[in-house]
Amino acid sequence: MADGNVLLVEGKDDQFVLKHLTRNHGIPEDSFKIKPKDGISVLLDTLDVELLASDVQRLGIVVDADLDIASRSVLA
Amino acid sequence: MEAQVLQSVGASIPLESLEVRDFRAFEDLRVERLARVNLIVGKNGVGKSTLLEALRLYANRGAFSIIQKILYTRDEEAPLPAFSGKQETVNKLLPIKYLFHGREDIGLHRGPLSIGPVGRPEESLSISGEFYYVKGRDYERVKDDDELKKLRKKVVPGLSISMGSDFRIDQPLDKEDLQTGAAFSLYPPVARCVFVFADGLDMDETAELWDSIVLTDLENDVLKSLRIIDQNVERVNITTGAMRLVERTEVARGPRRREREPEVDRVPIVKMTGLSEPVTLMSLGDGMNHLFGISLALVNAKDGILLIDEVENGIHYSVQQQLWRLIFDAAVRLNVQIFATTHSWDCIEAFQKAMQHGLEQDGQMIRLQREDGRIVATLFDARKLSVATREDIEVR
Repeated sequence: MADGNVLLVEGKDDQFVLKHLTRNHGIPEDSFKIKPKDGISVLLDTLDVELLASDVQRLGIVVDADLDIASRSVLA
Repeated sequence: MEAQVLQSVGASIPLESLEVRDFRAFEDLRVERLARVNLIVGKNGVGKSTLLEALRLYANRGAFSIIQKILYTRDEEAPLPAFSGKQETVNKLLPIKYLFHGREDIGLHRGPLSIGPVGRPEESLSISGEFYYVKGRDYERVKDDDELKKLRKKVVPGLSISMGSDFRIDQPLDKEDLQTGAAFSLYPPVARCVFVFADGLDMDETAELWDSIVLTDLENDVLKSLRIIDQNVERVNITTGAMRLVERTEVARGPRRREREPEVDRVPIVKMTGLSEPVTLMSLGDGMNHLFGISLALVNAKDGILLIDEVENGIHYSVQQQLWRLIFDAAVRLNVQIFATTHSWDCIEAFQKAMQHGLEQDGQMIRLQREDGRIVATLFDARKLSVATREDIEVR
């Protein structure tokens, strides 16, 4: 089940932060896979294919919201 | 050859889309776009081989001999029953029901199954299960349930095979002549079609395909492909051995019978640099043998369709990209549309790499998967495939 849960993040820093955040909250490490991308643009450009992964059950995304929000949308 | 030279010449392909209805595992499978080279993936049992069967049947305009071959390769072909007059017996024995989705017994107007371009019924192959009765010197199709009830003891099951308004063949299944290969000529192929099984071509087919290209330029294509694995391949040929009588049990032609038939052993042999005597192709390994089958089939499928089951079989991952480059090159040059299945991630990566630099429009991957009990197709074009391989996304 855990294999099918994926959380996409912008990069390695976010992966690190989220790993610790989940650990501090007692969430088992294998609950979902945290997959770092090489920046927000790569994350957005590859999102449609991540959704087509044959083993994905749930897909979550974490992106920075301290910048121009409109530019961080797939629709932008 | 340089990548730029390989740009598609824009020749049209036999099938630009595909819809398969009521055929085996497919209730209604739609593939909205087909490319020149199509790689088919998916988990076991989602119908990768079935898709190849559908294409083979379509290309051969539903030829009954192909139907028999398809059933035979899946061990579903029982000897066709002699007509007993009892419908239950006939139904139980009748293997043709396996052609239809749901596998229910053949009834009146069962199906039809159909295979063809999306939204173009007049260009699609249509096959329905029917009942027939003898009228004069001909067979007549049973029209409705009332007629079936009335003629109950006189009917035989069969298939009605049609395409558009000007092609229709009724094949009652107790007619002796259609159990021989003779009926094949009744079906003008939609496109030339060559099929390569997962374990390669059989000896007869290999020899037949070789004979049709020997001493032509196409021989070079075959040689080139063998050199992907071993640079030392100089020449290739097929020997003609002594004739001998072989006892064989013939199931494909209906009632089981034993026959002694003359057969000639024909063995592919290869001249290698540095060796004075030729060696058998078999002795060079499974990969070489499979490659020989693929390349031979490819050049023989000129202006037609090539189907390859488990294309990567026995072929080391390090040469797969070269293999795909060669397949793409020949497909464009010889105007062949290709459908190949695979389970291998290496194969998908090699396929994706071979498509780069000018061939992006010529290839795509088709994934079959089960969704809410139905099998559906998801398409991966060059960009999606490149994202999947770069970002390590499991798309099989």
